[in-house]
Amino acid sequence: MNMIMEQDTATQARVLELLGRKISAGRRIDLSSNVVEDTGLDSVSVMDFVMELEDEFDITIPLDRIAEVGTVGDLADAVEVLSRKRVATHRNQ
Amino acid sequence: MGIKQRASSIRSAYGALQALGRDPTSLKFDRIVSPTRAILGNEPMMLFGTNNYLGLTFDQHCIDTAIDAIREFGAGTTGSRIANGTYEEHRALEAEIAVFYNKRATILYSTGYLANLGVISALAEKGDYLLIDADSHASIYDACKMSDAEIIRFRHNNPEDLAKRLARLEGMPGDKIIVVEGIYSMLGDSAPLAEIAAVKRAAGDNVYLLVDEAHSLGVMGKSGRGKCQEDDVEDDCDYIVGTFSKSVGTTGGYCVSNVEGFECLRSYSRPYMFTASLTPPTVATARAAFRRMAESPELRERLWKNSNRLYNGLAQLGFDLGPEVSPVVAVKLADPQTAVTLWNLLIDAGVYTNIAIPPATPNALSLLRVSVSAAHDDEQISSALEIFAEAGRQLGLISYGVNMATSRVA
Repeated sequence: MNMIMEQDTATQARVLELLGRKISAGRRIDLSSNVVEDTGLDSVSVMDFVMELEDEFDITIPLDRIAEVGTVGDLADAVEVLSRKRVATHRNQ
Repeated sequence: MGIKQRASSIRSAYGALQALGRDPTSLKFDRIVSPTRAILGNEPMMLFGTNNYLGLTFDQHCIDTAIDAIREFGAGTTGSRIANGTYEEHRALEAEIAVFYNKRATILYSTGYLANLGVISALAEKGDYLLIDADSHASIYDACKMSDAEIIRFRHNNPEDLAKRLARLEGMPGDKIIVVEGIYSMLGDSAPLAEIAAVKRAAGDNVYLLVDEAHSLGVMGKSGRGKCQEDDVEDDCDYIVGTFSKSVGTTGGYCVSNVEGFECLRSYSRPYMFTASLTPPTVATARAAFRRMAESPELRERLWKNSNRLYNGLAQLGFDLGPEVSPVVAVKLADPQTAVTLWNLLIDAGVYTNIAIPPATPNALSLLRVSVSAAHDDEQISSALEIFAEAGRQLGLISYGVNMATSRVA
């Protein structure tokens, strides 16, 4: 259980770090920030950021998953779930 | 966000730009004189912001056949293709487009937007994957919203990035449909279709390629079929979508394909089934225009001569342009305010261009989208370049003096 908690935190930290590079210097974001409203990013920039996350974690994040995402924490959770799914798929192959 | 809040947010976003002069979203032409001339207010305007690549909107034969058709078949069909809206003329146009492309079948749609919506949403179902170029047109994004498939974007015009994303789907069930455009409407750059087709072939079975040739039909390829023909990959392009609203000079859309069972879309593609079919004069215009495109390669030659002249002329003046010579010449500007100010100055001097600002543009670019027609004459292009030079100098966008600039491009 502890190990999973640690992994979650690492994903959250990495998502926050990568997103932090995208937004203007004056803004502060945390896991409760809204991915669109609190970042100042337009819809295209959010989709571009998702492409970066796909490469960073070597996963596929379908765009409909993004529609369900509200906060940065939700986004990190989605990345975490898709990363685990990927690992499970590879093990089964 | 509620209706009232959204209206207020839109007003505040666009209000500042409208304050710089004309409202780009509600400009009205009082008269259209020719494919390249119009009257705006009381002022004559040279049109450098259309999609009239071959200048066929005023082609005499297109106009005459449209008038004959409206007399013979009436002004509209008042029905969809699956009800009372299929006439002999619709079937004839579908057959002629199939012959033009040397493909098995064509399905007509009432606009190019609906063609993308109808084809993409019908082909890709739940469990399938749509892999779309990140710079895709809004109609492709909207089609994705309408589809139950999983949507994956790949980096613009980047076959390696597409290959990487396809590799992540290896072993996953479901069809994978790659969606790209021949020429991209905002920057005028074209897709590396030979490389994209190679990625598709390497990805194995159940991987399909759809190419939207909206801006490349009549513009590229030995007989004007588009970028698929130019790059000699027509057999790899499973679905080719196009529009009548650019080179063809009217309105309407279509998809051609050799894929077995393609025409079944007529029974489940909702944008085909639940909208009125193309009007008889529109169908007649499209039939005449396709014939004209095939018979008049000199229109394409003229278009490229004009494109080269305008692109190179603007480049020599010092404007920052899109990556390649094309009938769509994108002038990149620092921000929406600069774009709107330049756009207003050009109109003041008699040159109409399109304005394109985020989020309708890739990479948050602010652009003037300048487009060329085969119908532009040499004098119009010289005159447009002089007006660009003067306006660009006035705004401090280019460093050349106007005399030097015009002498360089004369």
